[in-house]
Parts: sequence; structure tokens; C-alpha cells
Amino acid sequence: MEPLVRMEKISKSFGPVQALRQVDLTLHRREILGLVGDNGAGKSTLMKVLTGVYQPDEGEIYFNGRRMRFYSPHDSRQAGIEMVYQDLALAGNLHVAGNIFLGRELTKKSLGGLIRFLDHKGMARAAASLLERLKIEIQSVDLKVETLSGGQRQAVAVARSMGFNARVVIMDEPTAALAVKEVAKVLELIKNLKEHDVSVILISHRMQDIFEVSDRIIVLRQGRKVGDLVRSQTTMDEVVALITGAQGEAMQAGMEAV
Amino acid sequence: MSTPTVARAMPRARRFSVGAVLDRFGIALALVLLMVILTILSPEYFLTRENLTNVAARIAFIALLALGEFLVILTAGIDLSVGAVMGLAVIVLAWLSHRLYEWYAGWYYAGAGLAAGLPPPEGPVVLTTISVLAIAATLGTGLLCGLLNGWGFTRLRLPHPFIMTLGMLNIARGVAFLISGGSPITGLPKAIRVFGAGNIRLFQFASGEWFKIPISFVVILIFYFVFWVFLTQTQTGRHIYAVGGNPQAALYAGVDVSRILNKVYMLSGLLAGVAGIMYAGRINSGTPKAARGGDELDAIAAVIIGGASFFGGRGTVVGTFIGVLILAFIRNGLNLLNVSVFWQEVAIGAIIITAAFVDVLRLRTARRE
Repeated sequence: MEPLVRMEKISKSFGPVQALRQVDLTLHRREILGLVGDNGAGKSTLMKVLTGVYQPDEGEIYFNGRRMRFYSPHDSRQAGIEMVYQDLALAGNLHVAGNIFLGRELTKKSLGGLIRFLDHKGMARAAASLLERLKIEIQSVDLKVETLSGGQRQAVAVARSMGFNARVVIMDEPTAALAVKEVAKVLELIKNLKEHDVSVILISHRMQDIFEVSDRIIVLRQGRKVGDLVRSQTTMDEVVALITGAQGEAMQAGMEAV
Repeated sequence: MSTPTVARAMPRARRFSVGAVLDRFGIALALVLLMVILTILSPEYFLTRENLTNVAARIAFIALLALGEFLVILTAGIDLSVGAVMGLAVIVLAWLSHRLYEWYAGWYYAGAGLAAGLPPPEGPVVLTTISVLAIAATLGTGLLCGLLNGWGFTRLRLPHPFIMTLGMLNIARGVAFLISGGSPITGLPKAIRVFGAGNIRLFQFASGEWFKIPISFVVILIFYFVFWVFLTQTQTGRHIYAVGGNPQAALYAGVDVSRILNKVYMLSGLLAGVAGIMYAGRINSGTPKAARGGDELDAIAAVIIGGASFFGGRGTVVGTFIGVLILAFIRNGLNLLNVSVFWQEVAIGAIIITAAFVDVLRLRTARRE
């Protein structure tokens, strides 16, 4: 079966810095893909190429089997690729429903079609049912986002992306700033997304998170893909070795010893 | 979408704590308290019809400036030019109505209009037409100043709206003095004066006296209502709050942040133009004194007292209106009590600082980190 996303031989350089070298990435339907690598390994650059923030120097992107060119995040969003930003792109002064519908508010005609007013009730209802479907526990969609915990905010950010009929949700360090108790809830939510026919690309430094939710793990190192592993057939040690390059060095050392 | 699940997630989590009540109605309570105190201290004058009508008529232009300033402060910006733009509007209004009148009268009495049987320049038709044209040009002036303010921030990318609007303050003031030559242009058509000085007779007392309310007060009530609807019920209003709360989030969500900012500064300029009409109408003159400045600081003070946050994204139209009233009643009350103008300034300064501190406290408790 054709994968949902196929990135082929993506290269990208910024001046003299080669950020990505011939990187391939596939993402299947209902798959959670862990994307790992050290700082500067090219994870964020690769995701920015996928969302159209950057244009690749070389390489192709196929979505649902069709070759695509994303010239802006708007294009990739149209296709159903949503990025949940690390810095939680929510407006704390707006309530939950307001954030979920920010930029695409529901309106209804008033005064005989003369003017369009916000459909507060419709948005509250739809937001509540969206949270319900995703099993996100927030007492009320009327609560201001700044009163929520970090995990709840992360959940609202995910719900927001789901509201756009996302097929692919990219999450950049979703658990980095969370309390332990909250991490579990966010991971639960990520696993939940599969049931809604959504694929997830998860960028994280927390190996235990990656191993808890991912089906497959791609390892980047210095702009190259150095590992594409099925989670059930690998170990944390192996992945860490690939990230740090220790495996290569160890082999090198072994060879020299011979 | 099944109904039971919705019903479960929907209940409103209103907390009926003292803090929540104070947060929501604190400013209104402060206003009531102030009025009670003033009533006790000045039992003969404060609550009289004359005094309240007087206050209602006096707050018109500050109320309009404060409304525009509130929109700008909602986006975490500042508009220092509203006072000077109002002054420029006052001059444009008076100057243009005089020029239009002179031009038409000259042409009419030269024979062309008289012979053609056109209406005389002193007649209501011509004067009303002149008024409408002058008012349109005045509003256009305000709108243009606001648009330039917005562009300074969004296109020239000047570091902070403080700078662009400070520049505009000087430019508008300078142009107002250039047009007027520094002296007042006195005498305005009735159709203009009515906005600033007219009254609506509501009903007649047994004594034969009329209960009147100033038209300017009705005008600001209409403006405040329209802007309340605009901010709370429309998509653009929602986006103004979002831009003030987190401009980056708004940008990611596809909100055209520059466009929202331009709109906000344009509305602030437009409202300064409307304030100019009130101001000129009230004193029946276009005086360059109006452009001297200082009114923008009162407008900012009213917005801050009204509970809006300088950090952006927080505050209400109703709060701003109460802020205007509090400022007006303090001035009025202290006048009634014969307190020196200089002490009034000290009192208002202390209240501004208190209001801003309350905002800081509120943010500290509301936010969860």
C-alpha cells in the first residue's frame, strides 16, 4: 500500500551548511513515527521541508501517492499536514473554544445577512464534542487557556490541529515542558489519534516517550538518515548509539583492533 | 455528535469566589463607591441633574479617544497621536466649512448661482451640504492619520507603535497650526454644532422644565455599543483579542496580523476624527489649542483605569467606559469640593498606578505556569 507521506532524497543546505543530505522518510496510514537525533541533526529542517516552510534543494515529496510541492505552511495544511508547535501557539487570553477555532471561526448571518456574527454556541458545542472524541479532559471550553495546565494546553493544541481535518500531525517536543503525570496523558492522546485515522510524526528527546508510542523510529545524524527501525525490533541502546554515532565508532574501533 | 456527551463537556465552570466577582465587577464597584463618596461629600451638587448632564456632555471627546486607544492597547500597542489627530480634525472641520462657505457665497453672489435660482449660501440646504462635506473630510483625515500610524508599524516596521504615533502627534499638531495659522476659526454651521452642543428633550417636568440629555452623550453610547458588538461578536473583534494575546499564535492560525493592526490604528484615527467633531461642536470653534496635546494621556489613563492590560489582549469596552466615567467624576467631584487642580492631577496619577498594579496582580493570579 502506498504510504501516506513519502519524502525522497531530500537535500537542503543553508549557505555552506548541509542540513539535510539525501534523506528518505515514509509515513504510513495510522502510524506513529518517532523522529530522533541530536540537536542540529536536521529533524526540524526536515519537518519544515514537509510543511512547506523551507523548499528542498533536491528531492520529492509524495502525499497520498501524488507528487506535491508545498510552497508555504498554508499549502501543506490544505493537504492535511498540521504542525503542533513546540512553543504552544495558543492565545492564553482566549478560551479553549476560541483557540480551537482561531482563524476559522464559525459565523452566522445576522440582521438579514447584512453582517456575520460569531456563532459562540456552535463553536462551544463543536469544541466540546471534539475534546470528547479525543478523550481530552477539560472541565469547560469556556476556560481561558492560560488557566490550564501545560498538558491540557498541549491537548488543546492537538485538538486544534485535529479540527482542521488533519491526516498528519507533526509534534515537536510535545512533552518537553510537562510534569510527569501530564506526560502520560499526552502520550495517551497521541496513541488515540491513530483511532481517528491520523498519522503522527513525533520529535522528542525523551527516548522513553518515543519507545512508548512509536511504531517506527527514524534516526537522523548530521543531516543523514542513519536508522529506520521498527520499534519492536530494536532497543533504546541501539537507537541512542545511532543518535550519537557511537555505533559507527565502536565498529570502527573494533575493526582497528583486528 | 451525540447530545449527552456534549451536555457533559459543556457545563460552565464559573467560580463564585470573591476574587472572581472582584475581577469581573471590580471596576464597576469602584465607580459606584466613588459616586457614593462624592454624594456624601457634596450632597447638594453632585447628584443633581445639572451636574450629571454637565459631566455627560464633557466626557464625549475623551470617551471617543479612549475607545480608539482601548482598541490599540488591546493589541499591546499605544497610540500617542489621538489628541493631536483630534486637534487636526477640529481645524480641518472648521477651516473647510469656512472655505466651502466662502467659495459658494463668492460664486453665488458673483451672479452665477443667484441668476440660476440656486439656494442661497445662508440657507439650510447649502449649510447642511457644507457640514456633510466637512464632516466627511474630517473623518477622512482621522482615518488617514490612523492608516499611516498602522503602516509605520506594519510596513516600515518601526520597532514600536510608540515611535510612529509620537511622530504622528507632532505632524498632526504641526499641520493643525499651519492650516489655522495659530488662531481659532470661530463659527460653525448648526448641523455640526448639534453633535457637540445639542440636547435631546426627553420629557417635560411639571415645572415646565425639560429633561434633556446631550446628543454627544447619546452619540458615545451608540459608538460604545457598536464597538462592544464589534469586539465580542465578530471575527475581526476576536482576532484583535488574539493578536493582543499572542501575535505568533494568531499568525500560525492564519490571522492576517498586519491587517488587524492596520485596522485597529485606522479605527483609532477615525474615532479621533469623531472626537474632533464633538470638540469643535461644543465650543463652536476650530481652535488649534485642541491639538496642543495631553488629551491622549487622559485617554490612556481612562483605558488603564478601566482595567485593560498594557500587555494586550485583556479589557472590555464596558470597562473602558467606566474608566472614562471614573476619570470624569474624580475631576468633577474634586472641582465641586474645591480641591486644587494640582491635587487632582496627583490623585489621578495615583489611581492610574493603582489600576495598573491591580492588573499585574490579576495576571499573576490568573496565569498558571
